[in-house]
Amino acid sequence: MFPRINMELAAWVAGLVYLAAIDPHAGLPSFCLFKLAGFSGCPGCGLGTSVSLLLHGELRESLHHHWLGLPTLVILCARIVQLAKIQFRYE
Amino acid sequence: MNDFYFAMLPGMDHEELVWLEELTKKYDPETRKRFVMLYQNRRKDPQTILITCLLGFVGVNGIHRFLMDEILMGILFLFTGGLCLVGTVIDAINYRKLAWEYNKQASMDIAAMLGKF
Repeated sequence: MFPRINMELAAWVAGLVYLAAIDPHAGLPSFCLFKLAGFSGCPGCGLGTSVSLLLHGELRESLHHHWLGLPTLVILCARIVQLAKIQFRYE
Repeated sequence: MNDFYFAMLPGMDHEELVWLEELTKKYDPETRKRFVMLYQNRRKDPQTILITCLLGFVGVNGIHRFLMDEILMGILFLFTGGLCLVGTVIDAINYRKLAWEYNKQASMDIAAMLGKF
């Protein structure tokens, strides 16, 4: 049977792979829906750049962009492991 | 207490129904009754998850993650505006699977607990 991949798992993995692949200094396109809706920004802005910098090994600059970059990476990795366990346990 | 009781829980879908029937098929009526009582207490309605998730667009993000005992993800969503709302949108699309993931774990916990006594 074709395995049904959990969309959340796919989304987090795709996001982290994308952030690892790009150049963080070039400036990311903005994904923030608050900004697209016309607000000036939200508490999460700069998080993508921060995680991307971290994946390229630049801890100090990462903390400068957003202080939650490191916790975000750890929590997302934990969640990916958890989802992957559920995904592959019942097959 | 009849066999259709599970089907009356709010937001029940086919996969969950089949799983619960399979899990409780060997129970005697008394144990089955206790299972149903414990399960309907622990269970989260998918609609509740969706509504608390959508609250992120007008106010506080991440309540649905706290409801499902994912404290760390909840804190992350709370302090980053649901990862700039991207995470909130993903969860709003995926709410049924999220609720089912929690409910399945709850049903297995209850089955393990009833097995002991």
